[in-house]
Amino acid sequence: MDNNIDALVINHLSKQYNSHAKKAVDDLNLTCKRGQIVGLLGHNGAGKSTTLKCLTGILPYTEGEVVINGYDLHAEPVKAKHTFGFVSDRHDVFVKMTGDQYLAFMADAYGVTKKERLDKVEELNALFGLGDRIHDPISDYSHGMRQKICMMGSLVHQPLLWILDEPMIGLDPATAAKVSDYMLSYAKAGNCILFSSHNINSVQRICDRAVIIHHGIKTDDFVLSSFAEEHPEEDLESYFLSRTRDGGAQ
Amino acid sequence: MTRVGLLLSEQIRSALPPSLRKKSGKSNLFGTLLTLVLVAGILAVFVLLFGRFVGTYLGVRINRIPDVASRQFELMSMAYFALFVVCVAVGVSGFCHSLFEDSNLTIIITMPFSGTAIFVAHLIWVYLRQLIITAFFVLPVNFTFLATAGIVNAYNVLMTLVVCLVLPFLSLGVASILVLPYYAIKRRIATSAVATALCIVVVMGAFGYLYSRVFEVVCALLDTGKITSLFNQTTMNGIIAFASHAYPANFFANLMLGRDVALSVGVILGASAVLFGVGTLLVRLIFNKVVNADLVFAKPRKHRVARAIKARTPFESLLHKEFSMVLRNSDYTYMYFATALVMPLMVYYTSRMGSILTASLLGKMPVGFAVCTFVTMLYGTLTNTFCSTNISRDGYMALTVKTLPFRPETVLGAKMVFCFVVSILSILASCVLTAAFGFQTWGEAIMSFVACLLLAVAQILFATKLDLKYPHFSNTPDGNIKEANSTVSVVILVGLIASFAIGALLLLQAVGSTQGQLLTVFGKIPRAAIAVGIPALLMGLSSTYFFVGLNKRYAALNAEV
Repeated sequence: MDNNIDALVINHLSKQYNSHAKKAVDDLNLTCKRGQIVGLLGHNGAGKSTTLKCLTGILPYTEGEVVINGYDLHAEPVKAKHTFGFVSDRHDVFVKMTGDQYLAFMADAYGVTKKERLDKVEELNALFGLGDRIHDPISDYSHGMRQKICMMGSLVHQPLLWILDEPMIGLDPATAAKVSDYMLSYAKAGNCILFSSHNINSVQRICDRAVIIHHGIKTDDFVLSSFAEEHPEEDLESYFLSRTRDGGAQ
Repeated sequence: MTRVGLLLSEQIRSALPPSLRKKSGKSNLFGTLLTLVLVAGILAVFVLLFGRFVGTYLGVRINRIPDVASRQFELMSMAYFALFVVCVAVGVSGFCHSLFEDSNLTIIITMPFSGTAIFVAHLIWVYLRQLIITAFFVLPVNFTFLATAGIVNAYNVLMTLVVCLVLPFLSLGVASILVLPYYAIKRRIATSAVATALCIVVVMGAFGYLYSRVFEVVCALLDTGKITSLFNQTTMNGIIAFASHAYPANFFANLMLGRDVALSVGVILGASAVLFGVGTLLVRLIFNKVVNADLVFAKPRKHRVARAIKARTPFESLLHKEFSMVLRNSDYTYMYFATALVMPLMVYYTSRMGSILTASLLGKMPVGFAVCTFVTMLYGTLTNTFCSTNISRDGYMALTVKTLPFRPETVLGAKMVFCFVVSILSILASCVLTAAFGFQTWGEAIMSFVACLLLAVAQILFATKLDLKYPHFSNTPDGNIKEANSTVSVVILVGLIASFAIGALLLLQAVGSTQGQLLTVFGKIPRAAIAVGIPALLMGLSSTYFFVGLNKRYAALNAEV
């Protein structure tokens, strides 16, 4: 894979659930480069999850273009999907499988060799700390454990782009800190991370860039390292609130 | 509305099928109508057959001496014993759901309702449910019996209503004693795929045995016109002994027949009061423990040895996922295997009945192939209905799979192969059985197998695409699809129409090939053209329906519930 290719290019993406409804995502443009961590901020119903669902192939988009690691999602969906891993905000799936069976299923889906998957599962289990519970049915897992196994499944093929929907909700503080550190090192290794969050502190701590979506429209896209210089009077939270003053879901 | 009334209305609302819960009127009218027609059809067949059975049984003589009064008592005792067993089973299931499986309970106990109000609302709901189900079974049995025996009068009608009101108390009393051990065993079985499979085999075996007994009777009825020969001296002695000891059914029988009324009323009311009282106390104790989370059924966790993670191709992996998801879910395992296991037996008995019926109507005609093919297609249609929920079963998992690098054909192909596995085995077993017992030749059985297989493929392709276009995702706490939806109804209807059309044409062809007149034209059509040609044509049409716009339809699938 050419390292100069952007991890994610979104051109004029729009999503309308039906012809009478207001656009859930309206003319969104976004480019994420390798090595970047990009946080999507927005109120409930702002369009973050819809955007992520369009990027991952869950929802067909009404207009626009999504190119993931050089592959057009519409024209070459299978190739594009090989290059990203996705963690949904719903973890109550595959509950009849055991943790290791789920990881094997994900590895099969991405064509990971037996040797690679064994090493990767060991590495991820050390990070997320499921221990022996990895052999138990997922239905026996707590909410946090389900989230961990979903994260492990999304990383089993070492994706170039890691997409997460509200990844920190439900994680205990120690695991959340470990995940944050892992995200930083994962991006440093040349991969890209895009995640949605309500947690402004975690975005500020981990991300290189923050994108604010409000009523389906991208209102802001800024580099966090220069945020303080550009907005000396405000912190990120008050800035976010000022930009989205008229509230969330309508 | 009182607190109990409020809770009770919520219980009733959540128990209604979604189609009846909607106020918009955009409900599944077709599915509801079809269900009503099917229930009415089943009831009509039951009334017809049970009526004939009652008439025949009342005519049974022992040592050539007729004794209608004794036969009435025996028959009523047996019928009420069966009703009592069914009502207890329904009661156990009702308590089980109300106490252990009602997800709303965990929310309601956090709300400002007293424990007593919640308990009373649950108890009233279980009783109402029991009352409706009891009436559904008791009314057809009683009125068919009374009408056939010619003893319909005001007393009997009144007693029928009394039984409908009292039987739920008695059966719930017994059910409340059984519910805790039943749930503990159920939990233990549900956690083991092997135990679940064994349990299903045992249940299916029992059903198979019952089916075979019923069909033996029906076949004898068709063959000889009477079944009195089945009730020989030994059988009758057994029935008489059973009826005199079938408590509490024999008291209900006496009550209905107006014999020992005072004693029967006393025993029934006394037993109902005691059992229901004890049962209520017991259920209240269990309820308190459930609310306080004092009941633990989980077995101690065993240390598991890590298994090697096997690498599979995407298709194998998806197929393995289908088996894992279904075989570890007792509801789905039952749905997947139930009709498939019973199908060969049903085909055997129905083919036997068909051959007796056609022989008596048409004389010696070569219609074995037509009958066997029609019957196998008919039951095959019912077996394949599981594929009508191929997408809906997955719920949100369908969306997660969409984010993975699988082609739509691979995802849906695995689902269809999964359904096809049981379909092919049950069709094969059915054809082997019908050939082995001489209802058709082995050559005809091979042709029948090919024809049924083609129709099965057509049905699976059609059902899967239809479910992809119009998925019905479950909103139950466990995410399981528990009731038929319009896709299931349409798939059954189309399958039945195709089976009847092919069966009728094959029958006309068989008759036309040996008889003159109008049917000669059918006799000139090669039967392979009908048996294999039409299913092949249907498979072609289904394939076209399946593949046209597949990628677009798969991309548009949205499982949000």
